[in-house]
Amino acid sequence: MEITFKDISKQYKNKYALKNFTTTLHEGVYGLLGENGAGKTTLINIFVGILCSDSGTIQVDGQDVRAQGKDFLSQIGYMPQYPIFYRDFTVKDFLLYMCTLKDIPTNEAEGRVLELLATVNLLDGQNKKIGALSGGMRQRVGIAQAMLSDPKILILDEPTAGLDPSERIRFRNLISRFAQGRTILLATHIVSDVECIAREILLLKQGRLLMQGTPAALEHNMEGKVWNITAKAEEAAWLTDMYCVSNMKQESESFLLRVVGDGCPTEGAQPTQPNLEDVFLYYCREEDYDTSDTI
Amino acid sequence: MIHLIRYEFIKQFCKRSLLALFVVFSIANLFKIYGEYRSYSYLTDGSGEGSWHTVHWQLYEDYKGEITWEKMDHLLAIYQPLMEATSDMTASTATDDPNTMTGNLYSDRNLLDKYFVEPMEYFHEYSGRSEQVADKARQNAALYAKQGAIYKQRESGVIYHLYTGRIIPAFAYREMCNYYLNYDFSIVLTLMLSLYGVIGTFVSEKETQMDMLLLVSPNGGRKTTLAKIFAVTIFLFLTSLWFSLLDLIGFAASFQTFEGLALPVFAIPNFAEASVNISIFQYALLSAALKCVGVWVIGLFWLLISMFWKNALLPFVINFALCIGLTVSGAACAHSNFFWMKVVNPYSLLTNRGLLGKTEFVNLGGFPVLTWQVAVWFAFIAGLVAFSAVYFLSAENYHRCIRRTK
Repeated sequence: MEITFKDISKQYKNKYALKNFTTTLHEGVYGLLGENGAGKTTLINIFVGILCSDSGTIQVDGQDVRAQGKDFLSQIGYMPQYPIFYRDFTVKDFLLYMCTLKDIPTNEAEGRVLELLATVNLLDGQNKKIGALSGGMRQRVGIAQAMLSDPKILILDEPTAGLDPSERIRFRNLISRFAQGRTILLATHIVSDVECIAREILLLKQGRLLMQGTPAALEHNMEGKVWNITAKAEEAAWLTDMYCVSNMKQESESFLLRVVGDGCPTEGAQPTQPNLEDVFLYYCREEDYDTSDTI
Repeated sequence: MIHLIRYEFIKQFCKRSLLALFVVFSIANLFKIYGEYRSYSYLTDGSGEGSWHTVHWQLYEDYKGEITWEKMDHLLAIYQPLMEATSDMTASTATDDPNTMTGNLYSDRNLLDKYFVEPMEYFHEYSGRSEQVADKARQNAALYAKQGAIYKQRESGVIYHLYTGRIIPAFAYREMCNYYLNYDFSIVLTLMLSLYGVIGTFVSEKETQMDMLLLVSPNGGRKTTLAKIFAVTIFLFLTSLWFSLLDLIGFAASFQTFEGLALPVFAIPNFAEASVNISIFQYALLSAALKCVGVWVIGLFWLLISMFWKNALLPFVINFALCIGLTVSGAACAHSNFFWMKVVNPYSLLTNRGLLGKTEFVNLGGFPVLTWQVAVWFAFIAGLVAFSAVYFLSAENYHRCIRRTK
């Protein structure tokens, strides 16, 4: 499967939410990374048809999704940001309802629901009301509903927002399980969500695709731009003001700072191995990016 | 689609709060009906030997059924001596007089007067009066024909056909039916319950962010909207029918009888000029149907208004205000000559006495059409407009929209 976005743009009043977004996705997990307001949800909403783009086309295997209509919708599983679902429905009833919405035949629906509930480890909670579920359980219901029609494309908008670390890890593993033979587009601003599981990262800023690549490639590009510095309190404060500090850790009387920048910030700074968080921080620093996208 | 409608119904209307309100309103309605009985009926004095209740039902056995001269003579033979004895107000006021039915002469006279003499007189004389109306209408029609007033001629013709042959052949207890036909409290309950049920149809999807998920589903978008409209229609019909049924059962239970339902509707004084020649039971069915149509139209407009908001408070206030506006204007013009005001206000279909209880016409292209018929047609058209607006203004997945327009 090949999904091609070509020159997708969307503007609200005089501000671009998405500008000339162009990329091609294949099978695997794609992490859509960006700050709040970077255009992740706009892109997803355009992709699934909730929003209409001002320009550009989206093609799946060479065919325009607008020409596919309902057939395209049958191919996608979507989990919106902060889903609440119907509080009075039990988990099982909700999933059966979603089966009806997804045109899954009644005789297959129950089996599919139970199979997915087992996969997301919610079989015991199938008769619980959705209103009584924890955030993590609700997210698992969310991914289960997205997977009901065994979609070729899975779109997850900030699926781990509000989850505790163990639930987040559990959810991440679940996504990895579903990744085989599918294209998964996972929008998040939490780097660790996609660092380990994404085949490629798409970095968005102010509606533009800044870069795209494997986590290793993005980190490789950053080599020589991340530094460890040991500094006293006063110097640490000065460095924090002057440079982009991705981490600051107190060690006895001094501080160990992790600085992201183009050149060696100070004498004694030691270059260190960059990670994806450094990449995110480097490219999403506000001062580095011009805001000429306003019309 | 049936599955979708079923789910929409469960989602919106099988809520604990709504069901609780349903029960509370039903109980309140029954209490109110019983209150009507206790307040207005004279037959609430228990089942003692001399009570009006007991005496009435004993006498009723003698007079019910076909009205004959023999029955009328028999009634007058009891009533006239009582009238004479009590006319100068000097008769005994004792309440334990063994020579009376209820223990008191005045009480006997009043009982006979209210429950037997007056109704039987009305029943007996009604055919003569309606024949006069028909005859006058025939004369008017001839006169208008001479003057070339075609519309008036047609109107008189309809009146003639409507009133010719009207007769109340049998005597029956009509008190229960009288109060039943003039009872409106359940309309308020129906409207309140319907508003509470309908208001969340679109809003709750937005509040739970399910609107997005619905849009992205193959059977979502307008298909779900259609299911919602049908589910709302079913809910409104069920609510309206339930309260119509509850009213009838409530009145019958309170008055402890179903007597009178077979009488023609014009046997009730308020309906002497009724525009329909049907029995009270048939009227109850027609009234229930008209209420359904009225609630349906109002409900669809509530739905239309509520679909533009993200939470329920403001549309609830707006729709409540709309409801009050329709009620007040409907009540204000119910007995007026502003026929069009009655016809365009769906609230008049809910009360429907103003439409069915009088013979009034609307001039439609030179043809006189009874106001209730015009009101029904107008409501259907308004309902279909609201239906279409809800359907076409609801959100649809852009991938599907563009495909359709291609």
